[in-house]
Amino acid sequence: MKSTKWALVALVLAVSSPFIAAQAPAAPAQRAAPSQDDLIAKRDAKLKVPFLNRKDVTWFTDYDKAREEAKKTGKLLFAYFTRSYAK
Amino acid sequence: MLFCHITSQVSTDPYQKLLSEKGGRGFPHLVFMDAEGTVLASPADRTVASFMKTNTELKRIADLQGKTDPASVTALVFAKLDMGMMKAADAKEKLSGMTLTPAQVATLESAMIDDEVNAARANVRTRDEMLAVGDTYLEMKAKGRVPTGKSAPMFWGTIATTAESKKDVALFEECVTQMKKIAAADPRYARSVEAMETRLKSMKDPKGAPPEKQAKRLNGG
Repeated sequence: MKSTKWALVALVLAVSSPFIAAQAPAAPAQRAAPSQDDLIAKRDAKLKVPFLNRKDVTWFTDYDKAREEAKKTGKLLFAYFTRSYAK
Repeated sequence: MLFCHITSQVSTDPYQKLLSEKGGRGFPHLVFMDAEGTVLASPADRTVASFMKTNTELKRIADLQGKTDPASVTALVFAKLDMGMMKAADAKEKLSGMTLTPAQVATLESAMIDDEVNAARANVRTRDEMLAVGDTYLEMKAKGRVPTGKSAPMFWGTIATTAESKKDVALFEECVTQMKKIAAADPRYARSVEAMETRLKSMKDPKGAPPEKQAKRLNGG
């Protein structure tokens, strides 16, 4: 329970950070579609954000593995949906 | 367990439509799901208190599942109702024949009204449709079916728009009074009250109304 609480505190801090807050839904931009290479680079950068790489909290980013682990442990999933494709 | 889903638009990444499949319409989106990926609940807002409340309630629901004694069955229904996991009509059906306390009866009735309010506003796309919903809410109000729960801000906000359209200052003032009561209990609505007060001022003194652009901004338009 304690670890869940701290995980949630970490999540709220992450969600409240300017980095994440900057990703609020924005009006559709009129610009050229980014290349797949750009999108891959942005996704990889997103995977390196500090809150996903904390040593005291485990975040699953693979949906199949997350569900598998939830089944094994009998726990619920707390899912945070974000995006990497926007600037 | 914590799961972060990243919508990347990378063509080879799986589950790129997971957000919409789980009911999300924007980022960020937060939900509790079971191990099958079924959405159980979403925190009311992005605060630690809200996360903890939802987490605690889901644990309580899990503990109550499978119990057959009347008190547990009743508690489970009300817990699911509170979490938005059950429609009020379904709850009423499940609880038929059960002995309920006056407070539980009131909670159930309040949830029935909330569902009625929400159903009327579902799929509204145009201003005319919204004004029609305002009339529906006025009929509910005339019958004494006034929400005091989660749908109350939408109820009074919609009636206010209808009142403004009809230039009914007295009705709009009533909406402001009700929204002030809501904002006193939930400060998130303080800005709504502020915007409504500006609109009320404009209704009372059209000459002193702010320019259209500013009025739209204040009204969230």
